[in-house]
Amino acid sequence: MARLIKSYIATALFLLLLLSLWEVGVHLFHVPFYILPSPSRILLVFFTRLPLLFSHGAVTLLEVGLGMFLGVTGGITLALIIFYSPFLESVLYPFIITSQMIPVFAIAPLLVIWFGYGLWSKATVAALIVFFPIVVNTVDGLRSVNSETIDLLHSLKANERQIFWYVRLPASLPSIFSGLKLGVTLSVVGATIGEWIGARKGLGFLMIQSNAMLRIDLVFASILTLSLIGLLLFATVRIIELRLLQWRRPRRKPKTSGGNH
Amino acid sequence: MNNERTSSVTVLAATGITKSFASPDKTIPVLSKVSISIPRGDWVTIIGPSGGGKTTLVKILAGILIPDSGKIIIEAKGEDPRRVVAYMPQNDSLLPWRTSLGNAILASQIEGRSRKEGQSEARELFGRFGLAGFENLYPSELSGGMRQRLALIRTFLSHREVLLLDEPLGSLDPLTRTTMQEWLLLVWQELGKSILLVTHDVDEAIFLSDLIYLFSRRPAHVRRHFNIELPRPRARTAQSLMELKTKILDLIHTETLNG
Repeated sequence: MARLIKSYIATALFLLLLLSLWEVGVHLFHVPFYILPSPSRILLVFFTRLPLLFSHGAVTLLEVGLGMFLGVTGGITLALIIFYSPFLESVLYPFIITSQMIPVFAIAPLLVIWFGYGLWSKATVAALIVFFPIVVNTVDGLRSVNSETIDLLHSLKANERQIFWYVRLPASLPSIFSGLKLGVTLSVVGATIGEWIGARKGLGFLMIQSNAMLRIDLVFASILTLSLIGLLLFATVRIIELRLLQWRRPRRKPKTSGGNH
Repeated sequence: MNNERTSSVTVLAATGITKSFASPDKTIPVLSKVSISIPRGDWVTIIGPSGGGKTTLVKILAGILIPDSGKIIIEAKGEDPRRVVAYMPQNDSLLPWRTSLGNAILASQIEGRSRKEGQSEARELFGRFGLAGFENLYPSELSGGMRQRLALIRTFLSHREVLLLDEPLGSLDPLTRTTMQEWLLLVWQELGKSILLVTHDVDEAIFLSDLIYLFSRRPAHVRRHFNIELPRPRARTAQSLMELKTKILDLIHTETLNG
């Protein structure tokens, strides 16, 4: 625990050092605020414009949330189909892989045309980005099950449904969570890109608008808000993960040898 | 402790079991007309070279694999053999995300019995198996010997008549292994099950068994069987056991030389 706090302190000090250099540099070289605002100015803007950032942030958060939901449910469903049907796997997997060769950002303008300027086009961009790591990780997880464990379940006359709930799902949860942690950060990027292309609200929209008006301090304040949203989402996933996967953190070191009774 | 042979009723038997596996370019015969039988309440052991098809036979008896030919005969005709046998795989196959207690009640859960019922039944065995107090630990928090005992609790709690134990002590260090053999013997005598043990340890086989089947190399068939009528507990160094050990080792040796 002491070591953990120590490492946090070190990180915080390093961050403080970087910010100080930035602050001093800006003042020393007289960099105008519409090129690079100082950290203190960004913080000031962040706090004075908090209501504005909050209302735009809420929109982005909603898009990310919806995108995550669509991407995760779609991804897990597809992973199950791929896992249980070798035929559909051979049909679908090449499509899923090649779909990743198309940059989602390149088709984002199309999505805005198809789904409009509102919530759905951004949620779709986020969903498309989240979906791939979820599919790949879930399939890997489902396949990670030891065949002897499945044999054991068969010898106990378990049916496929029981094998799924008792073995396959819990065994694949660790890799599903790896996919989720990757997906949750990417989905914030996805929603922001969606907003750059066409939106009436959201932090991406606010950035583009402020950029055009040379309010670079507000651009940075938006970036700060986006980072906070990303961190918040990541922390949420991590907390759920720790809750569900308690067994992966032994509370007690295994004894070296046993056998006496 | 009652150690008389209760009856000579055969609880589980396999006759003429043949099995081969297909690899891309050829078929590999693994079992060739294997016949064994397990008398009720007895301890039967299969020994033979590793990779020789012992595990395949056990998996056939456990209903996991289907033989190419041959029959599994159980006392209660028409019953699914899986209702008669409990299988303990070579590795302990404990579910790492379940606590010890959760692993122990797996069979009762699959049968749809209430969790409470399964748990109270399991708790009682935890005491008898020297695992009391470890109910809420995860398998990763247990030692090797404890994991094996937990896997045995799970096997016992499936309430089958015959326990198929595939090298249950194979992963343990020699000292733990010897202790576990003695302990296993006590538990077996107390619970009155029939056991089919797979091992390649001759000492283990002669110390524990009523009946030993010696398997040949692949494709496996039964080369010889030995009835051991010595009372238990047996002295590991008893004259007659040593003679039997020499005999079995000689047989294994001649096969290796003639191969």
